[in-house]
Amino acid sequence: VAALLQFHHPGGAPQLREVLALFGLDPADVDAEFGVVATDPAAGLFVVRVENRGLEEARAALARRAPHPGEGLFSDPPVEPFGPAGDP
Amino acid sequence: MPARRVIVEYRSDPELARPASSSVKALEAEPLEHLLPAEDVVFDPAFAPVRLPAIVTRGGRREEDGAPLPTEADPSAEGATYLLRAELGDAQIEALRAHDAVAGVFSDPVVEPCLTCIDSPALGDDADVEELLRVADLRGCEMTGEGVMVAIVDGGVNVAYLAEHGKHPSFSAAASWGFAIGVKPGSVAVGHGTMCAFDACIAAPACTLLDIAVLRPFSPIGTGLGALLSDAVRAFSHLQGLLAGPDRPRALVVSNSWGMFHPSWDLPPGDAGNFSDNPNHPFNRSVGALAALGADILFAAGNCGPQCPDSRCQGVSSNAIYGANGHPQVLTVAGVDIANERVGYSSIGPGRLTDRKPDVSGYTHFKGSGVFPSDSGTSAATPVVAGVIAAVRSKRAFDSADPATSPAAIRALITSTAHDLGTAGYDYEHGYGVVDGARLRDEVCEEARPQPAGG
Repeated sequence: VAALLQFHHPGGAPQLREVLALFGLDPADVDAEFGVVATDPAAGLFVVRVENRGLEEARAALARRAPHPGEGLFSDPPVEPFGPAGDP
Repeated sequence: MPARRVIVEYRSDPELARPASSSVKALEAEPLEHLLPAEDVVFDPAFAPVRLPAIVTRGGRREEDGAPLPTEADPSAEGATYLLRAELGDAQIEALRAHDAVAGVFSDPVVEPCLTCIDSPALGDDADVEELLRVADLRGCEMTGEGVMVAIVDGGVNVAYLAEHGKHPSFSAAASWGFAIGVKPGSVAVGHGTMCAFDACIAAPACTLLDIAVLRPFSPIGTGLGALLSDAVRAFSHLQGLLAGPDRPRALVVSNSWGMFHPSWDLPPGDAGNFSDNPNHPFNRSVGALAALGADILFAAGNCGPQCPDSRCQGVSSNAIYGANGHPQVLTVAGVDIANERVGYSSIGPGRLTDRKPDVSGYTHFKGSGVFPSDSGTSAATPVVAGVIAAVRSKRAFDSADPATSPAAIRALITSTAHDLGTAGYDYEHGYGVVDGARLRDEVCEEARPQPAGG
């Protein structure tokens, strides 16, 4: 199960390789196609999608960082439309 | 203490026969006094006695061989009984039944109109919705959505289909976004997203549509449309870039007709990574950031209303407005039909992130786009309201220097002008009421305001 790793990076959006270095992750630990996405850029918050195999390392890295209320590993639940049932 | 409502059937009584001769005359309290066989029985004097004729076998024959004989109502007063409405405690029911004058005591349950469920037939059509929203009056004041971008965050839009069905909005392929390379914005197979786009165009026929194709043809957990929330994170980041960039539109309305159906889809409440209840979740932060840039964001309340919830709700119909669908900086939309009756599947509040959710109701369950037998779900209600907001934005574009044009001010305008439904004031079923185009026009359109005398 993948999760969203949200982190604080006040200097603007980092490259994916910078994120890997910051959290001690391998390239295979993250969803490269997803990349680094801004969630609240004015607050310096960005997110990457971490695969199951990288969650423990990400969790450990988060524990070593200065606490920030926006940082953490978050769920990536499915969503579906609230519309009519069946096919058009 | 009287608590239970009952119907009391009395045997023939001249005091009851007189008021029963009129269908509208209520009973005076005094004639009831002699009927009181038990204490703590409170009759309803506003309820005129209803005469119930005796049922007799035709021709007065008696049943001899066990076979049922034809029956008919006896029009004479003899043998007739009279129904009264009363309230009493449970302990009084048997005492009342034991009284010689009482033929029976029956429950008087609350009955309500049959609510529309997702498989109910359509009620009215998009022309009715147009009339209810007073779209002609909005158009007369140039409230058409012109110059306003309306992002349909859904499964993709088919612009050609819209044109074939009488909707001719502008379309910005450049500002659109899709989850997959090779999907041409505005040319996606006709489906839920096209229905939503059609419904936004009811009140905003001249808006500029954006196709923000987040939902994939196959949900990660089902067979229909769906996505992961991270897809929406990417889409909202794209929209943030649009508002922060050099080609910023004068207004952006973002319509979202999707969400979670069951808490098991998420981490549990209290978990630091939870989405449903957690304002720090990346998508909830993303929604707040987009609103701060000036976007008007709408989310459907959901289809987990207690009367006829979607099967995916798995019976959970309370606290079922999850995460961003109940974000404090979005307008959360419930559904009503064109008779202003809440549809039974429309999720009720409170919201998980904000207590007072939904905010407002929009019309749904009408024959409209032709994509489905009815444009239904809170899915349809949401773009209908998004179109109304786009119409408002034609006259009141976002200006970061003017607080009266902020998304919060627009939400307050929509809720304060809504036509109240249900219990007086706010309620968790309808929010502040159904969006009211006429009152919005009066508030927003300077030309519609009465001119001062001599002015």
